[in-house]
Amino acid sequence: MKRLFAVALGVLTAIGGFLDIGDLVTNAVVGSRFGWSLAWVVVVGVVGICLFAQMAGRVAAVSGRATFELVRERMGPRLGLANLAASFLINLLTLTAEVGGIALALQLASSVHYLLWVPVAALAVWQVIWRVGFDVMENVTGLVGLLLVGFAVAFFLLGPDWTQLTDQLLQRAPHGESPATYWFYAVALFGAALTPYEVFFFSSGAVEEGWSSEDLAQSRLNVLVGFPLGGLLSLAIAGCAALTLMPLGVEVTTLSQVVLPVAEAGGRVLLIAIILGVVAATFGAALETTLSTGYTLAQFFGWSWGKFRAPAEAARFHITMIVCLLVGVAVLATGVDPVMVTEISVVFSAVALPLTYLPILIVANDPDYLGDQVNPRLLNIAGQVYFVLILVASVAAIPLMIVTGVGR
Amino acid sequence: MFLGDLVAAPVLQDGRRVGYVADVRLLVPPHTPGQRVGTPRVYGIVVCPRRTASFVGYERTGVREPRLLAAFFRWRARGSFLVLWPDLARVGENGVDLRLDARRWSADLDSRPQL
Amino acid sequence: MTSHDALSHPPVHIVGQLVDARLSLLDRQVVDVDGRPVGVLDDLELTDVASPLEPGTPPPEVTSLVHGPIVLERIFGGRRPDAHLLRIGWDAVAKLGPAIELAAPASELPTSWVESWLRDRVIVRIPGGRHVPR
Repeated sequence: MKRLFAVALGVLTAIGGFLDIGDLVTNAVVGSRFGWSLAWVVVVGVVGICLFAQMAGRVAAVSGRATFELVRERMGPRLGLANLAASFLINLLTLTAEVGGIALALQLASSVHYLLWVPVAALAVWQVIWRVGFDVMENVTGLVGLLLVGFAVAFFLLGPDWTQLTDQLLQRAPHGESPATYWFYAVALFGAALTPYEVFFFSSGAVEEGWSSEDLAQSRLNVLVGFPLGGLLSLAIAGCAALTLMPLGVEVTTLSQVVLPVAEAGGRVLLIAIILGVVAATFGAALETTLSTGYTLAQFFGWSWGKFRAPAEAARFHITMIVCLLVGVAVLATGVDPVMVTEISVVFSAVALPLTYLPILIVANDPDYLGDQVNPRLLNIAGQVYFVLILVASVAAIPLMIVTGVGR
Repeated sequence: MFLGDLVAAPVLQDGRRVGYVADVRLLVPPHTPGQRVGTPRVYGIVVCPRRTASFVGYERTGVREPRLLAAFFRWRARGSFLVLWPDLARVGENGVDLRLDARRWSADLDSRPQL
Repeated sequence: MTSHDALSHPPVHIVGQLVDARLSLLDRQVVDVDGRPVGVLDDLELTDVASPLEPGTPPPEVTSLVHGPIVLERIFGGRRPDAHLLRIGWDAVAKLGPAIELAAPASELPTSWVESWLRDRVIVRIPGGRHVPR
């Protein structure tokens, strides 16, 4: 019974933990403009994050080495530092977006201006990192984040027009957007699904929780069941926007528009549930990105790190996270639109993907690290196909962003 | 002397550059009194014709997966060879000189029996 | 066999294990006896040798692991004064693997002044700084 509970808990938290502000916003924007025409990217992205998260988790569980330690070790100091600079900045950008997301969600719930919520949110994130254990943190945010299932409920309450959605899915419906915009959002969705912080966090989390080879089955299950279910919720978010906003010609530019279809379909109760879910999901993601800024720097430079240690035993790790949160608050205080920050962060994520996923793929084949737990051949074929996709997305991201003026 | 000074240093033979130090091969003896791991000593240097070509070592290890990446990196590091310590004439910050009669051996790490 | 594999192996019987320093040692994590990160291996210090090398000169031996804030010098060039390097004698090494494991606890090893300064001046002064998060 206890075992079953652990399995269920792992899967459930993976669902809640999959969605962050990047997924929420990008899926709603895409849904309102393209319907389900880009749904295939979500599927491709989810399969990709499953592949690489599972590899990174296995390496961490068997060898005890987290992803950024591998980046440094395999890429060497020079490329490693380039990757650190890129990953760190994107992490910071994502962290800023997530804190902004918490604040926006709290504004929806309270009608108090989001800028007043920003320092509160950042302080709360820091306190959880400072005082709360890793398990509790993961489980609470993951489980409350499950309230986002409300998007799926709303989707069905809206009475989806399946012929129309299928037409969009099979590219038979015109969406009236240029090909460049279409592909720009394809890259953005891909970047949102595969954000590098997810593997930094996932692999470091395996070390935090002291995983060993025996926990591999559980880890695989969390990823292979939890992430796809999270991906289904992404499709529900896009579907809600497609059903309500697209016919009106409304393009999502704010968080309130993301949750608008839910209010329309399910009324006040469902809306409250969804807003709570958004707060939990962005709060969880803010924790993950904040920790990831610490993890990446500490692992690259060989500092002591981890929530399983007292802050005094990992001083530079904790100082890094405090400084990053302060920077995020300062950026938001300029009044920059958090939704805009989110959109930019997912595009730059796409740019940095190859530098993170190449070392994972290489080390997952290294018997020095994994013994007989190296990748099976089929996984390598899939991994290499994805590596090509990742390269293409990475190269295309910036030109597409410029050509389309960030998708406008 | 620091090992890091040798890495990527140019390798010369008879005044001609034959490549760059891709790696320094160490021999770790099974026992050194009073130590858990024997004191390593330099066994030889791995020379690669191109400076930045060898960075994941596929040309030296037995790892052949993932196929395409491994093949690509092996190809990038083609022409790598091992020179044993006695065949080095000078080791300094400006590079490594090989003796005129230095032998070039396979850079492969795995396929020789280890005792 | 591809053409570049045509070279033969040296006909020397070795006793011990061959390790390529850059491939399997440099840039790996150095952890103490309890698995606590001590640093990342930036360099290995070797015994000095004469120049030029007379035939029959014994090969240099590794004397110590070098780490510390020198990674930027490795990337951008230049050299930190000797006193800034953190050295750990090779005799402290307990095991080579995905990480380099030491036989000593971190408290007995040279540490970065930045870590101690931040710990003593900032972290322990914030409430909860000494407690493990639960």
